[in-house]
Amino acid sequence: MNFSLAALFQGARRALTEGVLPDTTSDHARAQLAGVLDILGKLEGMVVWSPQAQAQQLVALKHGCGAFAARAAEASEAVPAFTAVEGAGIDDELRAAEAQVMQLTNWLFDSSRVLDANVREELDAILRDAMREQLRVERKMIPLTDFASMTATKPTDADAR
Amino acid sequence: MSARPVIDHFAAARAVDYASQHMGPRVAAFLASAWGVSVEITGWERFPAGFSWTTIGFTATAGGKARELILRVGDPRGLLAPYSARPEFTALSALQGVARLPVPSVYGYSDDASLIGAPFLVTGRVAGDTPMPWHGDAAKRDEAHNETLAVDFADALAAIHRVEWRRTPLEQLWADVDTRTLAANQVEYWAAHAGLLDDTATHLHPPQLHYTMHWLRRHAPASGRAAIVHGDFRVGNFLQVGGRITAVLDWELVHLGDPLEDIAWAGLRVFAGGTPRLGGLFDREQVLARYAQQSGIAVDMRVVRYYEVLGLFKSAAMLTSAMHRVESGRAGDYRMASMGFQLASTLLEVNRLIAEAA
Repeated sequence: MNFSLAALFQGARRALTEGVLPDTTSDHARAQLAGVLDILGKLEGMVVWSPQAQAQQLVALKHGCGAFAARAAEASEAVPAFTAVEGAGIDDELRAAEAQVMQLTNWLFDSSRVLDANVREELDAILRDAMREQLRVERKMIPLTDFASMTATKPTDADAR
Repeated sequence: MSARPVIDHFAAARAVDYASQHMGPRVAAFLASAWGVSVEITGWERFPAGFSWTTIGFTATAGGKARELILRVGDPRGLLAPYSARPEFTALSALQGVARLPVPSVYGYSDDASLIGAPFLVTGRVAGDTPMPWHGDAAKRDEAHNETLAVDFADALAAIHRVEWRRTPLEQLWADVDTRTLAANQVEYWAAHAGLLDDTATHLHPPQLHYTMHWLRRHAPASGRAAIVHGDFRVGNFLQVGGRITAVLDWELVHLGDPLEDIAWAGLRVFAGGTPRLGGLFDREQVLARYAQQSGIAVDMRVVRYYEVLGLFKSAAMLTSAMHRVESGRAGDYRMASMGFQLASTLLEVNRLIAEAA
């Protein structure tokens, strides 16, 4: 997940302040909304992505990068070296691993590179597997979205546009 | 899941004022200038549907005649900003009266943001409701209606692709498009939209998105027939009454491309509401067979699969830019944050399709 949680909270506060509050006429509803805005503001500086999930993603990407380098070496090919960020936080480590996957992608798809077709196919599969594992971890954290309720009109509205 | 610095741009993009008392008189003045008669606007109503252009319904009364109209506004903080209304206006103008292709009438457009605060387009309002691809919507609908809608759906798409675009004003609009690289044109367009071509920002992208761009470049099919491509032709973007399509809507992504791009987009699983049906409503084979018969275009499934990957890449590009807009305070609609959370599942689907194609 390459998104800033703090920015998401900030955006939620902005949407409520600018898009909802001006149209909220009930005193009770305005009071409740003020409470929600206060809590969102407090949470904004406190929230972080799950470190466990980030660690799982990091393992998946590092494993993929290692397997890619090893298979390339078997085929007598040298790939860009992985520059580890020792002592860095999980955010930076994950970012470095993502950057390495992208470098390996550039290497694999370099049109001037001549590779045995089987080797290319295997390297390609290693990259895809690593990225799939990263995405699976990420998706597990995300509940389904109800877009139907986000686009519904009031039941009394005319059904034309 | 790396964190990024927060950029607080509350005023990064000027908000458009959609209030009827502000925007209504400006639209009335625009129409009065076009029609040569004073115009009164009533019944101003903003719709929640759609995540890109803002849609407002209103009644324009001029010379004793009332017209039900739609104002589409390309908000500078919208999903696909910056906008131009010219392509949609030109396409709709070119397609008036095409058999089996109902489209809204068009009354005017402007890309001059000084008029109402953003580019805009005025069309006629068409009666009908919008079947949606969300889970459960198909079950609420009459199966006989689904069958007639499937026929209309295939016929409308075939009608779009049959149009001799070079004999329309679209030829001027698309004069610079290289028809030898139709697929690659779209890859580069959406790569730019996602920010993938910005070398200083590669750390902001999921690796799968970066990989997919390279995969699409390498596997781009030879250009087939160059046709008008709607760009967002799917369940959710047409109106219907009693099982007949009354209007094909949302032409903002219209471009010159390979017709199979539209076929692939319409059939994406993300628009199927968890069902095997096309758009959650239609028998897939029936639509494809009807389309091939009506268009005279062979549906080469290998090419369709390439365009399915491209379609998901396009979708992922939109989701990425939606989230970046929220992060940077340039989002006019907070639902874009929810869109951004769809990125992982979209990229997983891309990963699956590419693995199948390998």
